[in-house]
Amino acid sequence: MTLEVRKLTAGYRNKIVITDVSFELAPGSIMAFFGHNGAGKSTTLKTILGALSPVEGEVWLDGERIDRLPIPERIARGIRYLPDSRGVFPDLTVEENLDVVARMNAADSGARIAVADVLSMLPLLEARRGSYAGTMSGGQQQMLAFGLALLGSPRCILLEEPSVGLQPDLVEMLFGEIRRICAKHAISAILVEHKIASAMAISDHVLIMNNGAVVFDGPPAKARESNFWEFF
Amino acid sequence: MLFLQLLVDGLVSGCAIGLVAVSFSLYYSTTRVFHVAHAGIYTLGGYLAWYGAMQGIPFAIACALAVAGAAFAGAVIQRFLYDELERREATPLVMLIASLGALAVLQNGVAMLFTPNILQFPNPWRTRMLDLGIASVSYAQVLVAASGLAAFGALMWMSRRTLLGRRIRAVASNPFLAEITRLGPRSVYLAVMAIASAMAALSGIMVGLDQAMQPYTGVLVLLTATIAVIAGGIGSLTGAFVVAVALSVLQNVALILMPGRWSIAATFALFVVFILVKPEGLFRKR
Amino acid sequence: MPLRQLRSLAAAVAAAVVSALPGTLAHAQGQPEILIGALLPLTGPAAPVGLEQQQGVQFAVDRANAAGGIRGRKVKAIFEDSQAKPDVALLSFNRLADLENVPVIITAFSSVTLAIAPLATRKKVVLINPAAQSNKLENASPYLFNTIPLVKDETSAITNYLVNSLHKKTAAIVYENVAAGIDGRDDFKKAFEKLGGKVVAEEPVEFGLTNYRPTLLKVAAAKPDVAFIVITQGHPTFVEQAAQVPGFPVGAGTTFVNPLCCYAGSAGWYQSAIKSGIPPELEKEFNTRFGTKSMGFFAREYFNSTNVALKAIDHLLGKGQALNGENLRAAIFEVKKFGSDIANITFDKTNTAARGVDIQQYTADSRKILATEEAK
Ligand SMILES: Nc1ncnc2c1ncn2[C@@H]1O[C@H](COP(=O)(O)OP(=O)(O)OP(=O)(O)O)[C@@H](O)[C@H]1O
Ligand SMILES: [Mg+2]
Repeated sequence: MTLEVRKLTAGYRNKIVITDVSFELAPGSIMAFFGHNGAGKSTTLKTILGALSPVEGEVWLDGERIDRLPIPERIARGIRYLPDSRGVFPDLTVEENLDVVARMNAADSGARIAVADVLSMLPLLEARRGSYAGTMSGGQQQMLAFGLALLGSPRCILLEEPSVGLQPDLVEMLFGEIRRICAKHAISAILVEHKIASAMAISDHVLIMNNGAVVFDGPPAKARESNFWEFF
Repeated sequence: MLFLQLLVDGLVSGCAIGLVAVSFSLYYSTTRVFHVAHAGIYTLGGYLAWYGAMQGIPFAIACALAVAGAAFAGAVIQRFLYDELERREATPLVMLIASLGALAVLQNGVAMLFTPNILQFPNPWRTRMLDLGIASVSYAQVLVAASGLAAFGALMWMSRRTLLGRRIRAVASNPFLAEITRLGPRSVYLAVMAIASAMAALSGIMVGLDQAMQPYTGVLVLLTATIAVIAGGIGSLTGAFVVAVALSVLQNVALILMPGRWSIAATFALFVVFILVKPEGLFRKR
Repeated sequence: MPLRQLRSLAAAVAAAVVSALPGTLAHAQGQPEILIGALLPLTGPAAPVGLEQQQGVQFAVDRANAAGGIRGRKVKAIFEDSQAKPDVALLSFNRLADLENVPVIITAFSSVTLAIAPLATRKKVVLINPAAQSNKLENASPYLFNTIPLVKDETSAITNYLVNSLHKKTAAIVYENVAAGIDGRDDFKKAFEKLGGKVVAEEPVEFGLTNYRPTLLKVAAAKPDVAFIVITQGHPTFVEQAAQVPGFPVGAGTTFVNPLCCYAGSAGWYQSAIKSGIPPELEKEFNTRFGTKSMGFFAREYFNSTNVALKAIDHLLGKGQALNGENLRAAIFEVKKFGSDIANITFDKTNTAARGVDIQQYTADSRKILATEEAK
């Protein structure tokens, strides 16, 4: 398994938000992660990233326990996080954004995805190489943020609502890229989304959370039949 | 003639203040810490170089050692004061108070280690004059202007062209992303502090060489510099430098129109009006 | 420095012990000691000055005792610490006046002297101020005697010289923008205009700043005959930058600007200084006594002022009057002229000494005395 989350309990200061969350992610598979606002999706992702420390439970990546490691150590091992906003460096050009992240992560063993690869995968960025990220549209910035998350040797990408601010055809295009790239490089992804249909279309696996607990864990086909949609 | 001489003197002092403004701006926009103790580093640099010069060390070497010493002192403040406080999630007010504390320690430390009295560099060549035709300047003034412009240019080049420069701009514009893309914000803060301290020290040394030094004058310089940073547009290095020079020229040239006791007040009043009219500053940040 | 201070402190303590001995002897013989008080900054930042002042007082007392005392009575100085702080000084004053019953107290610093002056009036204790020059001391108390001319008196002496002997008609004033500088500016302006001069520029410099260039340029542009300077710090830098300004006029000032002297840039400038001399053998005696290299300004003035007090006491005892502040005050006016090798001091109806003021001119490495003006 690429990612294993075991009985994770976490929250903020003295408030537990998620309890006993467990799931697994096979290499190259995409997990759609649903739940109503405030269900605890972001809290789960932040705990996997390392921005929050778990009260209980474990996180394993490629057979290594990572829940005690600081954020940069987890990034070095292949965790990537795409925040729902502010995922770029606005004062740097597109090229500088990619360049600085690539160079600071170049030492990783077997860095597989370079700036050139990202530019060819996301041709929209190629066209705006010299633009300052802060001057680009929300959708363009979202593309760049995704590009930054791909650099190096990602193993598991945590995506926070990547479709926010994208026009419909770009959503389809971005999701198509995610599917293609994940499959090609055997990268796993967790896709937190409110565009349920689009997300389900590219997922191998659906996780639904309600009030901090996992209420559904299964394949998309089964999810479609279930009555968990009442949670939305 | 008077006008030209005042203009040239203003340009020269402006380069020194500009260096303080640019370095303060660099540090502030990267870390969001209002680093008042920068004034103390400015002072420390001058005194270290003076001490070296008094030991008979050639000026250039004394200057380099002092710049390195000030950069180290800045790094110590960053590592053992600001970093620690940030780890404990101190509020900006607490950071400011800590910075004021560091300033007091630096100024009084300098006064105790050396002397609270006005000091002059022993190098005799510093008062020699150079005739520029329209005005004349001392050798030391030439160094003030040259070092100011050179350090500013080097900083701009570093910021645009080097990996460290990109990391600094990246960390400044999005610290969380910098953390999760392994740009190492903490080591960037440390590097920025060292660079900013070195620049402030350079300015302090050159002004000390040209005029004289006292432990407590750094604060007045920092005040003017801060105004330049705000009026220049927070985050714009060029803005900070240009406005610092303009402010200094204005303070000098205003003397023609009014008695000296009004010129400082008048320039500051002008600044208040300016901020009311154009609150975002002269040079908007990209 | 600390070693030297320690040595002189030890010397002062030893002196106090030694001088106390014959005093107690005299007391045993039924001849009471003559007590004089001295309220000096013996600790705190001003202590180096205070210790020099203490040496001056002690030196005068020791010499009086060595010469058999005053009319057979031994003299004893009682030192109290003021820390140069008015509030501390008030307590110390009370101790001297009430506990020790001294008829006269020698003081230091304008702020301290001004604070205790009303008490001195009430308790009828003579105060002698040997070195502070604030104009406010002029009428602070009928019991306060200033043995040194005040700032305005010294200023008018140099102004007289500038106008009458050097025929300067226009002047610019460069002053430090603090109380002392502003007072100095006003004193000069008043004196200069009274003699028909015209002030063409008044330019302040900020305390603590060392960039005088714009101010100096503006002064030069006003083309005055003389620049009157009132700054209390940064003198070498001031001279240095003045020398870089073409056409900067000749400078002049009072004791305040003493450190302007002896640079190539200030050669030819003028300065007033309170006239005081010191015979070499006296200075040698002082140096042997206290282990010093020279007898500084404060030591001299405090020595001389103590002698003024002793001379007036002698006069008073000679008339068979009781030794108290009220009689001593009258005695000072009766003696009126106090001549010595150090200075000739006259109290002519007022409490502030009329006294010679030297007019010096600087060269690149020394100063020479051109004339002596009378202050007042
Ligand atoms: N920084 C915080 N401090 C305290 N409580 C927080 C914090 N962030 C979130 N919470 C709380 O934790 C719970 C879960 O929030 P979380 O952000 O994980 O929800 P989510 O599933 O991501 O919701 P959404 O779909 O709106 O993004 C909420 O009740 C929220 O109020
Ligand atoms: Mg969320």
